[in-house]
Amino acid sequence: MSAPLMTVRDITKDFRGLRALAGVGFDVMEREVTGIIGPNGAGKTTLFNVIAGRYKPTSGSIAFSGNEIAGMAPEKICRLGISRTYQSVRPFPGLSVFNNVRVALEYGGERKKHSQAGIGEEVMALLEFVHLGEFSGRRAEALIPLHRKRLEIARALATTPRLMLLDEIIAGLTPPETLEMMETIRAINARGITVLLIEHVMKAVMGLSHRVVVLHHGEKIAEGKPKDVGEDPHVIEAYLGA
Amino acid sequence: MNKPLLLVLAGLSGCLLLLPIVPIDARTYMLQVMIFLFLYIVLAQSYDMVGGQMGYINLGHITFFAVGAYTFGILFNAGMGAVLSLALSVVAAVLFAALIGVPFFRLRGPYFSLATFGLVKLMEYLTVNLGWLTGGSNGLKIEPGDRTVAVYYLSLAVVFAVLGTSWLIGRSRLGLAMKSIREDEEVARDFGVPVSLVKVQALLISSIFPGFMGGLYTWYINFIDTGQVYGLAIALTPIAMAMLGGTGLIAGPVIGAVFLYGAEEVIWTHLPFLKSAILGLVIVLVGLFMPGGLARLALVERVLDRLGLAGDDR
Repeated sequence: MSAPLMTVRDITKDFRGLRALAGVGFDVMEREVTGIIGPNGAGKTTLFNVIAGRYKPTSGSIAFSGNEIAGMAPEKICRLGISRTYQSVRPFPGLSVFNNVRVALEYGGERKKHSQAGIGEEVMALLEFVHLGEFSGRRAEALIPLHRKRLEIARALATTPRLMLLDEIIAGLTPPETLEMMETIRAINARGITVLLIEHVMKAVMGLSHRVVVLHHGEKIAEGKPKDVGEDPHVIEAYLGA
Repeated sequence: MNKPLLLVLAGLSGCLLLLPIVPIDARTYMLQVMIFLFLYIVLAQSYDMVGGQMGYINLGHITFFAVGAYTFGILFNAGMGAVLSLALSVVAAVLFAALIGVPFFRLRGPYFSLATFGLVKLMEYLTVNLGWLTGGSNGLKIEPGDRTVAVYYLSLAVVFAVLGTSWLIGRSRLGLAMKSIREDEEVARDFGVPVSLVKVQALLISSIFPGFMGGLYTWYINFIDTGQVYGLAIALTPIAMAMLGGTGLIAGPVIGAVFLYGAEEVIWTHLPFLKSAILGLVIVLVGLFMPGGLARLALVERVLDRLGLAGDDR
């Protein structure tokens, strides 16, 4: 459908003696939704942390729209156009919902000439998009879990990213909430934003992703269309055990 | 700003402006009490820019004051006028902040606090050992003079300046970044905040005011030594004031300074022997029963809110 926006090649990450990622490589196609699945401890979140700059990879390269970003500082990666959410949500707890998003808007994107009023409107538009408009003045710590997840989305969108990393944004939601969140992710993708998501809820990954990458023990064991991957004997073995 | 706030502020400012002119008994003593109150407010408020708004508890904030004080004394004795010496006191304090900012901000949380606390001792020993420059343990004398009224007005001006600056920071883009660092520095980085730069900028701004007050202090007292400017009392009292009053809120450090300094004066005049013990007890009790500080007490909060001074650390 299009060219890769991000190319991950041979990423290895060691923590002392433990190899969390072993030569992982795949492409993330522009404007697609790519899902990463794998059992617990497969290295999915480690991979996200390497892409987002939290961890320096032991070796390997990540090219993001022409820039080599492996080992770059997280604030620079963010400004290049990659934003993220956290597996266990991490809002700025004592800041208002509004200011949570404002930080990302003012620092995370390309430096634009914003007027105060312009910033306010943009933040409110993002909060309305995730249905948090009425809570803008609340401290983030006062939000219920579902709303915290929505806040993660709004904050990640505020940096005007080209690629969004969503780390188990659906896990823990009720079925109706899951459907709503899936709609939100589709709407984000429809805005032209490429999405890379980690998810355990199979219905969601399979329903959202154009392509799926399967990790197991830090290695990529399969990659392809959701349907094909679901039928791959290696994947079934990894999930069910031999 | 709302009306009652303007009235209260105008009334208060008027009284403070007129104080040196009214013929009252023990005027010099009154002015001295006020000058020290202003000093504490400035130290507590400027400490809280980094400590409260950004969440880095800088136990070495007083070193900026000390650098300002010694710079003033040395330059004034070298024949520079008071104005130039004061200006250079600020410059020296800011340069010193720039020097320590980069290495110290590699530390976080309690490690940062401990390191900055060690900095106070380090600077004290340095000052003692640079005797040819600082007078060492004999202290530093300048040409004596009674500068009470001038120092009073200048200190009052700095009080307004530091409050105004805090208020501006709280509403600025920089202030937002500082607060995000306080809340979660890693996440702040993930969302593009250049945390190293922001931390140093905040420290530089917070060093301006104690630097100036240090210069004024030397000019006023005429004699300084290491015990005065690096002592535990002067180093920790402003921090206790900020925490007691309500850290992170503009009104907090002011309330804390007025309360603690007032309590100190009262206790000192009535119960001189128990001063330290009672002061310590007050701090412990406040910490136990109102960890948010006086400014976050429901009653105080309501009054502040009515005045439009409640502040906001969100």
